[in-house]
Amino acid sequence: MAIYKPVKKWLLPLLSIVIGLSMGYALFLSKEDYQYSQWVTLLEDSQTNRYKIESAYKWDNNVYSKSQGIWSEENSYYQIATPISDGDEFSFEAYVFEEEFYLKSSGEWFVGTFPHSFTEELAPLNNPLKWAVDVLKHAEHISKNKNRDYVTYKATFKAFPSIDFRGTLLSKQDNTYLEMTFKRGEPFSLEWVVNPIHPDSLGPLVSYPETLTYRLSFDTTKNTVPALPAEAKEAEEID
Amino acid sequence: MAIHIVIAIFYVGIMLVSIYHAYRYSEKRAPIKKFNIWLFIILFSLWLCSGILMYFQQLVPVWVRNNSVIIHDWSTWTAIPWILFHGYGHLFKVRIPWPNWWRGRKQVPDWISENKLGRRDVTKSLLLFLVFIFLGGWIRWVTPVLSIPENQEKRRGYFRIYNVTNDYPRYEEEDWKVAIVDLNQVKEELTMKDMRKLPWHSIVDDFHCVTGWSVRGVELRGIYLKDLLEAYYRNHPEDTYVTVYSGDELYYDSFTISQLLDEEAMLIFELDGLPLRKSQGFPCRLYHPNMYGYKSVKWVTRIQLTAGREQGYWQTNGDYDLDGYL
Repeated sequence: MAIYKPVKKWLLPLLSIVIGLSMGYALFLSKEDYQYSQWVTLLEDSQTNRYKIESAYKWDNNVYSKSQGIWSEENSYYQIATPISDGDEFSFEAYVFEEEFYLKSSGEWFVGTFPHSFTEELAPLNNPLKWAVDVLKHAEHISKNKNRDYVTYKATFKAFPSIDFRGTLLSKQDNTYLEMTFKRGEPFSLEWVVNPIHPDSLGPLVSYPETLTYRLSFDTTKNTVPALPAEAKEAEEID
Repeated sequence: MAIHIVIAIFYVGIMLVSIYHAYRYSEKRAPIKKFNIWLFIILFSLWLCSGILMYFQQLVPVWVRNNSVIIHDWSTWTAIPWILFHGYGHLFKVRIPWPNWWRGRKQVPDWISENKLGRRDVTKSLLLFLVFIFLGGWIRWVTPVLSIPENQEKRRGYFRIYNVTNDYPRYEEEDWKVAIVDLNQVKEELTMKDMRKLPWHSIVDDFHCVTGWSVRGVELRGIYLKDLLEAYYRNHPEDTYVTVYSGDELYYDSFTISQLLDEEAMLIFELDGLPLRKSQGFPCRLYHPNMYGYKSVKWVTRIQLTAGREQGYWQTNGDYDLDGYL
């Protein structure tokens, strides 16, 4: 007569399979999680270097501002230009430190302390690498492409928890993405293309972009960030 | 601290000896007795291991610390009712209608006795488990899911609220004042308006409790104590101390002047972008970035400079370090 051994024959193996599958699924990383970790590690490791940066910001395909300068974690310097309606450009220089910033425009100096609304206009130039780490927390999917010396990461976004980017409130998105290329482990370029959906909390008459584009190029440099000129100490406090 | 360790070793030693004798007793006894002994061994082991990890919390990562506190809580609050119910049952001879074979009064049914696990069964199960753990891992790898950013927020931890009084003080912001008392007993009262005239700073830091739990990435906003006390300590000797008192009129703690002025200690008014909750110390609590939470006096209402160092609440009523460094 066959002996019935349901526990040994069925229950124990089933338990081993279910527990093994569950633990494997819970403990291992997904490919996207692994790529996210690699990307964040690259960004964090790069923060100790100095970079020559050029950037261009467009609102509905119109140039909103351009800048070039040198960034380091301790301080940065930028020359920023914004086109104005008569075809001319308004340009100024910014010296950015951890807790304060100095602006020079038309020979006059201004000083402000953080937090300040100027951070909105400056973002992400005050710390583009940390900004990227913060934005990536809202990513929906991440992909990676490798090509010889270049590695390109791309993150797509479906929605943000009502964050502000240069004065624009970002909520639901339609095909928004952040793409960064690294060359031999160093940041090379950053492109942020935002296709925001007009938030319900803003009225229909409130000006809202259809698309925002932000492009940054990085170049490691041994040049130091220009020192703050002595005359900046006489700067007037900015509103 | 040494007395705690001696008592703990003594207690754990007695427990281990008792468990060993109980285990030996249960070896030839009914299944119900085996079950009770094993349940107790598992609960005690969880409680002991998590307690050891909490005691040596500086040596383990924050996620291990936080999970140890949860396991310690769960094993305590499972074991206590079970022990009480078990003791009650014995004391008042409460009879639960278990099957007779469970009590050992009848032979164990065939479907259990035939399924006694042997070495082959354990080996087979382990192999299956290993194969499927890798299969589960592979399934996870190919699943297009990005979960780390979301989980990082969840693993942050959560605050537990501790008070030394049954209730706590409640203030309206406009009514709250903090008195600064210098060595000459000259007292000045400052309001929230005065606090807002000083520069406010935001920091993001991990909050650690001496009991073992932590909350990572907490945004704290307030003023540095060096900006507040600068005018009061300028002419004071270096060995001046500061006692900070809570509005609950019971809790207080003390610091050296250097700990508050040179180590970026703050008076905090906002946590994670919002005003402190009443239970968190609204409108003002102290925060030292390199010390445990028991040094972060809540509902701060008096800051007194003293010539000698006072013992704080938890030095008088407990055994916590006066310098509660992490």
